Amino acid sequence: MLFRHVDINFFLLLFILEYFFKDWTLLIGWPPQTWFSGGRWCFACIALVLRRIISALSFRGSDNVVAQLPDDVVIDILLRLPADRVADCRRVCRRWRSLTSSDYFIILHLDRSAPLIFVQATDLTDWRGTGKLAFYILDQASNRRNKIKKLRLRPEIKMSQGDTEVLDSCHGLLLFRDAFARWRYYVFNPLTQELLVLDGPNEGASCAFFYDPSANELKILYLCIGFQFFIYSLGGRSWRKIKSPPSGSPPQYDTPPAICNGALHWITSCGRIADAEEDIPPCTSGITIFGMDTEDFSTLPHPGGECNSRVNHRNMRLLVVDEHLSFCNVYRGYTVIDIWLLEDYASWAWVRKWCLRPNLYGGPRPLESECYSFSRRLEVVHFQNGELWLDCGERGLVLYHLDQNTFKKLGRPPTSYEHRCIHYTKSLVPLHRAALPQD
Amino acid sequence: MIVLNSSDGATFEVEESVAVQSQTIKHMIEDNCADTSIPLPNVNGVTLARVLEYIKKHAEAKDDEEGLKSFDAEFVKVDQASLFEIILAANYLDIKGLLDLTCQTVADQIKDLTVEEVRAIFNIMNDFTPEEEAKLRNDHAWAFE
Repeated sequence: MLFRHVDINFFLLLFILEYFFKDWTLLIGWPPQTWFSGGRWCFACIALVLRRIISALSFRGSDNVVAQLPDDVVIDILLRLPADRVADCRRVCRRWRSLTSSDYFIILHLDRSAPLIFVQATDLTDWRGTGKLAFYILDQASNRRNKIKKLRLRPEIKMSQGDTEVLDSCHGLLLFRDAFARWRYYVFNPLTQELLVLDGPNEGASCAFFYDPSANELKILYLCIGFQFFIYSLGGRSWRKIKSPPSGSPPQYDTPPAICNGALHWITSCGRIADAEEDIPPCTSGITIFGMDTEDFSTLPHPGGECNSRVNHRNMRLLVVDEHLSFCNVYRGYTVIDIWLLEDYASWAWVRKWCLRPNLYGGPRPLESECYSFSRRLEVVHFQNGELWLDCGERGLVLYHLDQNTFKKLGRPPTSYEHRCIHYTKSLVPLHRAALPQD
Repeated sequence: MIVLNSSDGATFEVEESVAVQSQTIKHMIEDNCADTSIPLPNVNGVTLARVLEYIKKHAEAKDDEEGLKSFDAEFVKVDQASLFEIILAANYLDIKGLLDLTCQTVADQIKDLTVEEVRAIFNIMNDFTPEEEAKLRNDHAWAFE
């Protein structure tokens, strides 16, 4: 029965090959078996032959056409899966692993990935004396009511969740800072669980974690004590000092910049919590710009004219919407959100597109008031497809549809005070490579 | 009218304006290889019939988005082997819409499956050693609560 599909010559051929060319299996990609040596080769031979027979038999059914899907079709199918499913599919077979590990695939997949929100919050359910910071992902596609899922790290990762703060994300890699050793930073890909530890030249704060297309490198812009600025390139793994902003004011380093037109944009900050008007930079230099090519800082005014009080600058946020710079101003009292779009970058012409009264506390679909909210907060985290992703503090994350004036609650981490949300995309970008894969 | 010959000898007639949805056929016509009939040795009769059904429907009802959507949804309700045959045919004939539809269908099928189930669907042998597989499982552990 067993020999119905297999010729006896096939057996003979295998025995000859095994006797004369011990390593012939390597030529065709079979893993070398250590038990082939040491005089037990005959058993190895028989096992190998049996394996070949079984594989030959299993491909003789009417379904054997599925084995012949060409590489580009398999890639097309796998590109449509989210990054964590692709990571799982690497375990299917060697061919799939090599197809999904190629630079071409990783770049293509990154372009297609949907954005997510990465949340870091104090996890009081994990209370062991001190509330540890934990990481969460907001998964909009999930069917659960609370779409926030907690991320587990492998125990070997030498970055304890309790002692790091997430700052920014780029191409699926997250940037963290050690809460105690404040010159130590971590670059981490949660999917591949690869970690890179780097030490800054001195204590300081990271202003931006970005991808420079002309250098094809990921870089970190770092502000050191003494108002000194450095650039760290992930490709060359080196620090380099650059010119500080002539205005004397740093960018808002606790918020990720808005990246477009080859430059980074932040609201200008004064470098510390300040309540006095004079300490906060004027509205005419409300926006700080850093050109990736020139590595120069400059400032330009924020839209909307002079503010009644410059303290408002703290509630301003820059985002990128459809490759245009967007300015979101959440007025004190959290009752009005102004959204401007930069229509013409060269002439710095802003247009006020929306003036929203998002009525979070009443209206057609109000958010239920839960527990006591001593920190009323409203921050715009992301803006896409006419929907604002809002971080509402205690009330968690909310999707606000601009035209329909409706809310959709997305969920919240176990405890919501002192949490922060970062815009993030899952990716399979490897860290062990010197530079980002090039297409 | 264009005449198409499948691998098992079946012939099909289809209008040229419909057939050019396949870039492969379109180039053959442009290169004047389609005088009498076009041989398609990589596609069997059953599959070619299905593919032609798709491109005919998409040529007729080009503006009827709702109708096309429901047609597409019904079109992919076939058994696994036939679905893969259609994918191979769409790939060979270079019909972008059909390839997108079928690849998305397969992607949706495998989205929530385990690795073993994906192997079963694609009829793939596991060629990793147990150690390699354990290492891979450990490397890409994204555990949710």
